[in-house]
Amino acid sequence: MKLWTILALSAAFLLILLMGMGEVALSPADYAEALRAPGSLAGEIVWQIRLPRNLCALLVGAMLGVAGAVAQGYFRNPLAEPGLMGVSGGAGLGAAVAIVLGLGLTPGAVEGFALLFAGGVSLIILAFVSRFPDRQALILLGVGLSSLTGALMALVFNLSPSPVTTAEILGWMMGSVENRSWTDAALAAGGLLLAALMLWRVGPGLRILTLGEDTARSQGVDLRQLAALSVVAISVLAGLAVAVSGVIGFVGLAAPHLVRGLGVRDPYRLIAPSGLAGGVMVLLADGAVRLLPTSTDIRLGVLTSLIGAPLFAFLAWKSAKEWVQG
Amino acid sequence: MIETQNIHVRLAQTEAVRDVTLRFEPGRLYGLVGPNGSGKTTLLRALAGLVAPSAGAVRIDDRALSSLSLSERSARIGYLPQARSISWDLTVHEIVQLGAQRFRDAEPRAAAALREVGLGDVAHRRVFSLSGGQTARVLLARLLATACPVLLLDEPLTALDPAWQRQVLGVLKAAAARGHVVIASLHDLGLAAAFCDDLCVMHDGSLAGFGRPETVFTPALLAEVFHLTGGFEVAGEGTRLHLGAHPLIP
Repeated sequence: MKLWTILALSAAFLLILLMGMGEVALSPADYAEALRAPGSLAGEIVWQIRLPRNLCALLVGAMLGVAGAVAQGYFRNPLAEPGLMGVSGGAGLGAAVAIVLGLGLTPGAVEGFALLFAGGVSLIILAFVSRFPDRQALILLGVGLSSLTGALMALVFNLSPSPVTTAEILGWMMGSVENRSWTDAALAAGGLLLAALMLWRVGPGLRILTLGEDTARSQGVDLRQLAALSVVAISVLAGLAVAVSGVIGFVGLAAPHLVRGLGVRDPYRLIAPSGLAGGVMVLLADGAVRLLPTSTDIRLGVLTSLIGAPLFAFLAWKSAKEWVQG
Repeated sequence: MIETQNIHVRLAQTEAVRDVTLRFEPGRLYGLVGPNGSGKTTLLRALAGLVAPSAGAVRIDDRALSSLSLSERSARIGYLPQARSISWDLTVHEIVQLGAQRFRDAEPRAAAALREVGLGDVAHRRVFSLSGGQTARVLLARLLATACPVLLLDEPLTALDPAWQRQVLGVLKAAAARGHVVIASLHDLGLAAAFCDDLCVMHDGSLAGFGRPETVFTPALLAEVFHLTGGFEVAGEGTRLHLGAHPLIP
């Protein structure tokens, strides 16, 4: 069976399985009623709570997986991930500012602020890339921007008016797809569609970039355009993912590795399966979060980081071994 | 046909190529020789359009290279860089196919190019599992698969054993015989003299000599540019380059 089919079937299976999971146990008759009468109680649970949540899990995972694959392809580095350039940090900062301003409960405000700040960081990166389309320089800029958004986030905590607000920001930062709406799912789907349009142009260039920038240029790749489109696609995906679900770490790093481990090495052909793999990973993690027998809910972002951080360390260890051995 | 007209190329504060005028014809294999830092790579990169001359122009088939679009240029000039970096562990066939991607029949073209460099049997191997010499040949096959009229190669013999160095020069000579302009920077003066139709000698960014090996490699040029004693001597029915064992490095 093709990798594509396996990943798509896994995603579909998990999506259906997770429709049966929630605080209220629903019988087959309840599902039938939900289908017949979307306005009924069962219908509300299925259509307004579970489906948006599960779709958001799938789409956020897909955005992170695609962004990770593009980041690794563009930076030609298996340790690259969507947060590398500071866009995720910017989105997180925006959300924190919205919460501090008391807009936490205003529909769309947290997402809007997150997008606004992510957009601001993206513009700085884009301005930089259009002058210096150099990967190493971009990584350095990303380190600077990530540190800056981190410092500003600390300042927000510092100036936070009350412990409740601080707790609210922390809760949001830990990442979750609980209580997400159709608007969130539509935002995520729109972001994926926009990125897909850009990546359709970028993909062949990423593939030739495997052989270095001189070879890519000699084969007709416009490196400036490649850099700009890659950066915009990563920014849109990473910024939107944080806006929709908070910070869900390590999916963007791990999903492309998973697909590479399954035999796909071509950075272009890696993109779409990485999206599916990311979706599967977040769906799995969101299922696990609901199943874990803890008195307080473990947040989705915490779980993915708990699994992803050791994986990252392992990858760094393995890469270092390869570099040292030459 | 590709030519340079009084080109100068500045890299940072240094003038890496100074006032070079050259004309390369189809059907010939050109060897670009010169000591380290003499401007060979910069000249090749200027011919490939990867670095813009600060003065003068590169022209291909009587059109300014700078007036061509990226795709027009990539259909005319193929370039094999000196750095052999490969980021991902693609299969040999996938890499060679990158060269032929502008053609509908990319797959058979890639297969033919691989056979030409003697790697038809490893097409489905992962490139990271190959030796340095095999990897160099895979990248050469990628260049051949571009089928560009002008093929530029920066030190294509690096990492190859002596037999494959000769084999690869044979492949380049065959490409020239098919009508390509082939320009390769080389360090082995003996091989350059034996295989190339014409040599282009660079020295401190300037052109120190251009023409047939026998006329270019005079004892005076070998001493001045390469700090070597030697010259052509009669060997059997032809001549061959003889180089002294002790360099004249001051």
